[in-house]
Amino acid sequence: MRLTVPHMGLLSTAYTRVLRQYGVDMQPPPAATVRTLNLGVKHSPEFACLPFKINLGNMMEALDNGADAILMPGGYGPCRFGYYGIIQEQILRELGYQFRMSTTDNPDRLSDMIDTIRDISRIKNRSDGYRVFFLILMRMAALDRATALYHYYKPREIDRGETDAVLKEAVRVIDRADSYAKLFRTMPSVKKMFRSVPIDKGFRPVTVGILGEIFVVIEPFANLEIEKKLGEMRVEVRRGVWLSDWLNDRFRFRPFRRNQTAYAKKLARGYLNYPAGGESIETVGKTLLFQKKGVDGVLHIMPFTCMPELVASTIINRISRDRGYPVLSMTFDEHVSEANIITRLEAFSDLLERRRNGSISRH
Amino acid sequence: MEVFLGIDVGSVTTKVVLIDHEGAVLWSSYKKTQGQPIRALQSAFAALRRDMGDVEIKGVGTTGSGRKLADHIAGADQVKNEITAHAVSAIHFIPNVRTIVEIGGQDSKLILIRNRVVTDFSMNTVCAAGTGSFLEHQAARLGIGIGELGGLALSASSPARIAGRCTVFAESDMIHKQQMGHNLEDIVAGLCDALVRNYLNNLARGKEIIGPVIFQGGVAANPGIKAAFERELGLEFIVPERYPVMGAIGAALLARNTGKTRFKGWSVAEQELSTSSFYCSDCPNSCGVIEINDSDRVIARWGDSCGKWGKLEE
Repeated sequence: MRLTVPHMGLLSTAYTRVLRQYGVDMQPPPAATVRTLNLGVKHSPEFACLPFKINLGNMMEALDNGADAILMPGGYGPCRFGYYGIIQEQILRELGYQFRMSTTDNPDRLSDMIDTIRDISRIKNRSDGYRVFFLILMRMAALDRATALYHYYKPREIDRGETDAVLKEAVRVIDRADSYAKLFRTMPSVKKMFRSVPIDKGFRPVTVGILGEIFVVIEPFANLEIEKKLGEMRVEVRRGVWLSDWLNDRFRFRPFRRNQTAYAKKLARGYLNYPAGGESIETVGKTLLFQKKGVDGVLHIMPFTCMPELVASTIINRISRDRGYPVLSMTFDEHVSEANIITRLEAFSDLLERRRNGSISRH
Repeated sequence: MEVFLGIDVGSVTTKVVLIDHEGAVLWSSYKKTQGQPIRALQSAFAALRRDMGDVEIKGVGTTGSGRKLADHIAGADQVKNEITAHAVSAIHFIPNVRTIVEIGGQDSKLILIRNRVVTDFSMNTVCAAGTGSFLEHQAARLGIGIGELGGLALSASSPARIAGRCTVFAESDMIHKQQMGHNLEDIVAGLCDALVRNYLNNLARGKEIIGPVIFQGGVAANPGIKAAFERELGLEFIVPERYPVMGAIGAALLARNTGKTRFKGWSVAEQELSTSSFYCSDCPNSCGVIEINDSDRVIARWGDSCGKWGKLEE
């Protein structure tokens, strides 16, 4: 059995090496390219969202490369996503692919995740299952930490592109840390790598909080590398959605850290009292949180046809009007025009800068 | 005298202006790009030089969808998006402006300004209904010049109701109304109403439009559209004298505070510049890479998402 899982940001880096150690024959999909997207678009229902199409393209390319089993999160999902695995399976079968498909049925129960790991690997012992799962989670947290460092250093870098190279190297180093001990030894050196990037120390960049649908926020291929683009415009990104946070908040691995989801829900009260699916309530709550923290504005991104985020977008526009807080919503799909995205990002960063300093600097 | 150059390379037209330090326009040109932005720019430069002599340029700003291309050709000190450029020039001419409606060849924008700062904006993303290209196409189909459209619309007595959600449907609905026997004036006026509704539905939803409103961009030349906006919103639309070149003026204004300019000099007007492109085949992204060549030397290259072709120039 050669197992593949569709990509989502750096998630595959967190688990591939670990699962391989436990005897899972992993075949990650090749990094998404225009070809991946075209394949996905060609075989997807038109009004399925961009994540569905990219997932499907990932699956097809992985199967073409020799994978014969797919693991797809699903179950009673946060939105239509819950059905995606089932529909993708049907599409792939109709295309003539032969494979085994498993979907996780109950994404809220940790034991189900552990069972999934035991199901696909040589790990039979439950406590080993937990240990592996935690290691993957810690690796994900390390990758997220490196990404957050990237967000800080990128707009301040003096030599354009240097921070990108450091992030790439950091991901490689974290990937090689395949035990708890190695991981803990690695993190200080990752920080040191970023600290060695020459930066403009006095520069105070405009800050933008990124919120929205989790896949589009986390996957650079889906959002046309929006974080890199903003960094190049010398804007500091504060991302409000992290994979490791999502897991932490669900399963409380870090009991002394404030549960971000619960806190966002509390802040959202009055604007949105019940979850409307997906990350809608987090989007609303964290918009208010970003304003509280003094982040200059919020960039809200979502796939075209995303119902939960559409609800959130109406509400955060109201927040924007009520409180005079800048919010820009953008939708992504296969038809998105990069030139249009760049123009809007530039105009938004000018807007924020002008609000803060009363003038526009030279970029 | 210190003069500054503003260049706005749009999808349909190329605008070049020359301003002094106070922002007074000394010279301007507004020409069709005709799909050849480099040539359009070179001919504007040649005309400027003919009219004004060898003025010494102290700063250059570029804007518009071709701002990057213009930067590579002319050497710009400021490369700015259209929204900021339009806002800067509108505020310069009418300091208390609170709304800018800008409609150009292929895109339209709404910019909200409070206390001389842009507070919100929107751009058309999916539909080109209501932009200059569509109006031009319809004028041609009706057999009238684009310049006559507005005047005809104003003389209508009962504008036809035309579906304006989408350009294709608007066109078929117009044909239908013609066949039903509506006269030309009413159809043209109906078209203006439909395009204004389309603009407001797409760009202005949930946005507070308050006066003073400035209407700029090429479509501001059309009094029919202006009247339709004023009827729909009950607000006066001010069309500034330099409405078609406001973006270029904004770019020039932004270039005023530059130190030593990067302007490459008037010789660019005579250079044998050409563009070429190829598809990189190193990965399945197949990026279209654009090159600008001066005779047989590559002077700029972009379009690759990984950056390996762009780097070679430096």
